[in-house]
This record gives sequence, structure tokens and C-alpha cells, in this order.
Amino acid sequence: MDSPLDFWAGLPAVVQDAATVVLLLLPGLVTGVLVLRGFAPGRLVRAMLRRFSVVNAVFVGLIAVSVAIGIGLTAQERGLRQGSARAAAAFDLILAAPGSEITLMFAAVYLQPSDVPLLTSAQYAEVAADPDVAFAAPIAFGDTYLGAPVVGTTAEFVTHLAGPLLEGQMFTTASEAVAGAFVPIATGETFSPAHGHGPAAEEDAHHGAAYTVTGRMAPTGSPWDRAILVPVEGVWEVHGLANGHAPSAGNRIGPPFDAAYFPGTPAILVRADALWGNYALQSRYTRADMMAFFPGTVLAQLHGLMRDIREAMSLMAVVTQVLVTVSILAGLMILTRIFARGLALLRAIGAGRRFVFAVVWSYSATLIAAGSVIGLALGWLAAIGFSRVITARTDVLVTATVSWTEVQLVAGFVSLTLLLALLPALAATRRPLLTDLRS
Amino acid sequence: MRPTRVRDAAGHTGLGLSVAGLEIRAPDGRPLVSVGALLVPAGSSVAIRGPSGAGKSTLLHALSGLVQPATGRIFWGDTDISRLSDAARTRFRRDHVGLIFQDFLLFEELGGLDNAALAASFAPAARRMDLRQRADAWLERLGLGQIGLRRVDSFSGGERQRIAVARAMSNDPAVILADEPTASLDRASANRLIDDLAALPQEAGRTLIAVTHDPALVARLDRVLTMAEGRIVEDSHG
Repeated sequence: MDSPLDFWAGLPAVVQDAATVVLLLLPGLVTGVLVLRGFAPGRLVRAMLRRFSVVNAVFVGLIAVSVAIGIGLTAQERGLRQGSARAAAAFDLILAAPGSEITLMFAAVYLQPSDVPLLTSAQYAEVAADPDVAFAAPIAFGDTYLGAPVVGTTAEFVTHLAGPLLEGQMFTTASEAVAGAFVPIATGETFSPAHGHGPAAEEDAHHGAAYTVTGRMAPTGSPWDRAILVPVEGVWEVHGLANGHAPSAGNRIGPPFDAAYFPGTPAILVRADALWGNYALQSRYTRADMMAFFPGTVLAQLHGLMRDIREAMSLMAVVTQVLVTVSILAGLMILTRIFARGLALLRAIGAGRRFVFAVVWSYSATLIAAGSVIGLALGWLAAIGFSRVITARTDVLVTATVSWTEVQLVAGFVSLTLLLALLPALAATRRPLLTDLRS
Repeated sequence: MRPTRVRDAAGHTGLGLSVAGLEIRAPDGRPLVSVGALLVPAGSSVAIRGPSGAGKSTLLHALSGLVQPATGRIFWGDTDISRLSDAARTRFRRDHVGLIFQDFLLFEELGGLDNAALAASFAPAARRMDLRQRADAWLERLGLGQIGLRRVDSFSGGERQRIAVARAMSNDPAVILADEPTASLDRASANRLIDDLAALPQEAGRTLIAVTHDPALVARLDRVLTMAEGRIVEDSHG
């Protein structure tokens, strides 16, 4: 017979998540059942809610905002983590001159402007000739057009990155280009690249050089969606360098490159024939004159470093929620005094202390539940909104949605605060009956 | 001597009152009410009058179990409520007592019927429907049948007090204790309420004790107790 742990581990993930929500809610639900057993305080609670509708709305709003902040933070952090990982998924292995892996990763994967040393023609030739390498795509960057990075690479890598083109056809000459999915340039348009990035870009540095857009990539959810991809030969040519092929090769583009005419490349994006081959290649090319790294591993290390910050943020979010709720419960204790005469009336006409307890607890529980549900919805909307902002600013497709984690966070919060709501309810039953009745 | 229960033709059971050696003191020990002996037969009506501060309301609160006496016994029928726990006195009020207050004490955000049937909120589930039906019937009888669902903040003072009476009657009480029930009403409303209150003991064997300054109400009840400085100084029949 399976142990409970084995049974739990054998359950589908969605069942585990749903069961966790139920378990987290259970203390609050059990409390509710025990408190309300045998009573029907609904009408009175509705009356209390209507009595101070503005104050109640403020309380619900405060709870909702605190819950939404907690949810927005955790959902956003996860969305950013997943988005950055998804953007790097197509980059199996990167080879570059020794230096900072992080700098290289930001340059090659996220297309952030960076000055990095070049790999030589001999190094590229060695990698390209490696029998374990399926393809080795040089990339060359440094130019832009209207803010969009112009990246030199191979047709093979374009297909590997984005699959079949959304429209048009792949570049076939050094003066043709394929636009990223969201680059505001139409197929058939011709443009002249600027040298450099941002305000410092030199618009006329490549005067006379021009590319014609022949196709458009499908969206990748990465900064490459806002890049213009050209044959690496084109980048070399507009910089006045050899184009990787002997003059006798004519207008040919793409590998194999002639080592004698290979000007160098800041990075090579490599894919092995088999998954294990990537590890062999990484081991083989991690050496004094070259470094090889998996962007996914570097990202995982970065995410690992940020885990403590993430956990601290989550804790702060929960503490903030609980503090807000405790403040509100303290407010409810004060508000309960305003209801004191009505509650005293209930006891005078025969309601037990337990019923008064149930009324006040239900009132508090309604505010908490309403605030939490609205907070969940607000958090979801906030996560979507922030995702769009981050996606627009980084071009990393961030899709932050409310997941089971957030639902569990809210469930735990609701349960805890429903237990805390016992305090104002208890305080209401301790009030002097006759004094309140005469007040 | 303890009062006996009486049962009228309709089957209502009344409770008589027997008070002996009652002393009620303020928290600082100052005597508030002192009643050596008082008997009120079931099914009778009593007015308690006297100047402000005479202890009328305090005595009424003690008779309802809202105030615990320092010494003495308060029997309603066979039950000595002065010896009951707080919870048991609350249950006694729930089952046997109807309370009417000077300023109605209604929940403004509830409808007339919901206020009248307030006891249904905390009654056992089996009794809730019965309580609501009885409250509804009392509203009907008191002339509020058509407006029982309206929120009470739209009601006049007289209508509110009649809702409070319906609330007091919803649990079919053996005892009705009213504290200045007509004090907040205009004359016409007060007279109508007095008609309603005065009929209660006669038709169902209920015991009615009302603290009042209203001569019109005093004149309609069987007996008049006059209090001064915490004591009953006069006991006369109306």
C-alpha cells in the first residue's frame, strides 16, 4: 500500500494545487462552519454592510489593494522569469571570446548593445568543422535602423529561431533582410543602417549601403522580434570588411565560410546534433582562448541569485497584507462599537453571545472575502498591465497570469485573516449589555 | 408564594411574577431598587410610574434578566431568573419575554418584516418559519401588513413602534415588558399603540408590565405601581 506521501506525489499537478487551496482554506472554512452553525445572520450582516457602505467599501478596497500588490508582485516575477527563459530557449550554446557570460548573453540573446572581443576565423573554422555541430551561426551586431538592431547571421539560424517566415522569403543576397515580427518596416522596403545604438548612432556611417526587406519572421517572444536580420556577410561588407567568402565565390552567402576571408565574430550560436552533444561541445570549447556557455544555465544562476530577493518580496507582500488586515480588523473593533446598541438589542431579545459573535465575524469575513476576491482580480489585471509594459520596454514577451501560486497565497491569507476576525467578534460579545442598550 | 401558570381558551400560557427581597445596587454599591415583595398574576397588566430616577427602568431590566440583582428572588412562573446564568436568562427572554423600548431600537437598513422577525435570525432552524409567519401576522394585525417589506427608515414613529411591538410578539411571549412605549409617539399614534398593548393580556393571558409616564396608558392597565427612590410607594388598581 502506498504511503500518503507516495499517494500525494502520484496525484496530477492540478489536483495537488486544488487540494492545496482547499487545505489552506480549510481553517477558515471550518471556523466559519463552527461559528455560523445553527444561525442565519445574513440579513443582519447585509444591514451592517449597508449601514456604513462607504467605510466598508474603503476597508474592502484596502484589503483588495494589499492582496493585489502581493499577487501582482509574485505573478510578475514569475512571468518575467518565464519570459526571459523562453526568450533564451532557442539559444542552445553560445561560443565567444573569454569574458563575461552575462554580458555576452545580454548581447547575443537579448540584443543589448555591448562591446565584446571577436572570435577569430580559425576559431570559427574549428567550431564549424566539429563533427558534433549541426550548425554554427556567427552573429554580428552593432548597427541599427530606427532603433531596431540590425543583426548579421545565417538563414539557418533565422529558421531555427522563428521557424517558417510569416511572410515573404528568406534573404538570399548580402543586401537583403528579414524583419522581426514587430519591426515597423514593410516587406519590399529598403533601408540604410546606422552605425551604433540609440542617440549616438551614426546615421550616415554606412552611406550607400542598403538592405531590402524580403520577408518577416514569426513572433518569438524575444527581443529578436524587433530586430532586422541580415546575412552576416552584409554586416561585414557595410563595415568595409571581407565578407567571409573568396571574391571568386561571387554573391554567395551562408556557410561554409572561407577562413581567409572571415573577419571575426563576437559570438557563434551553436547547436549540436544531439542534446548530449551540447554538453560535449560546451566542455570542449571552454578553454583559455574561448568560452562556451548555455544561456539557460546562466539565466538559472541569475534566477537562483534572485531567489532570496524573490522570497523576501513574497514575504513582504504577505506581511503587508496581514498588517493591512490587522489594521482593518482593529478598525472593525472600533466600528463594532457603533453597532454596539444593535448588538445589545439582539442579546436583550434573546440572542446568545454566540450569535452576536457570529454576526460580527460574518461581517468581518464578508469584508475580507470580498477584498480578497477583488484583490485577486485586481492583481490579475495589474499583472497583465505590467506584463505589457515590460514586454514593450524589453521586448521579452512577459505573460504574467494568476496561477495556482497566487490562488494559494490568497487562500492562505483568507484563512489566516478569518481566524484573526475572531478577535473583533470576541470583543463584541464582551461589551456591557445594559450600557450599550442605553447608549 | 409563587405565581401559577394560567392557560387561556386559545391555549396561551401566561407567567405570573413573584418578587421577594429584591435589591439592585449600582457598581459602587449604592442601592438603586429595593422591592420587598411583589406579586403579579399571570394575564394581568401593570403600569409602573414615578419620577425620573425612581428606579422604574432598572426594575424592568431586572424583571427581564438584563440586570442581575444583588439579593432577592425574581420568579416568572416556576423559574427563578435571579439564579440563572447569563446564557440561561438570555434563553428565558428568547422563549418567554417580549421587550418594547422607548426609541424602538430597530435596524434602519432592514425591512419592517425583517425587523419584526429578528428573532428568526438566531432561532433554531425549525422555528424560523414560524417566527416569520407570526411576525408577519402581527404586522398585519397592527396595520402594517402591506408595508412590512419597506425599510424602516421610511416609517413614521408610530409605525416603527408597532414594528417593535410585532417584534416583541413574534416569539409568542408569556411576558411583555415595555419601557416608555409611547414616549416617542404623537398622541394619535400613542393612543393606537395603547389600544394594541392593552388588548394583549386580555386576549392571550399574557402578563404586561409597562414603565410609563403616559396617563392614557396607565388608565388602561389593571394595576398601577408608583415608585420613588427605588421603592414601590403605592400599589393601586386601575
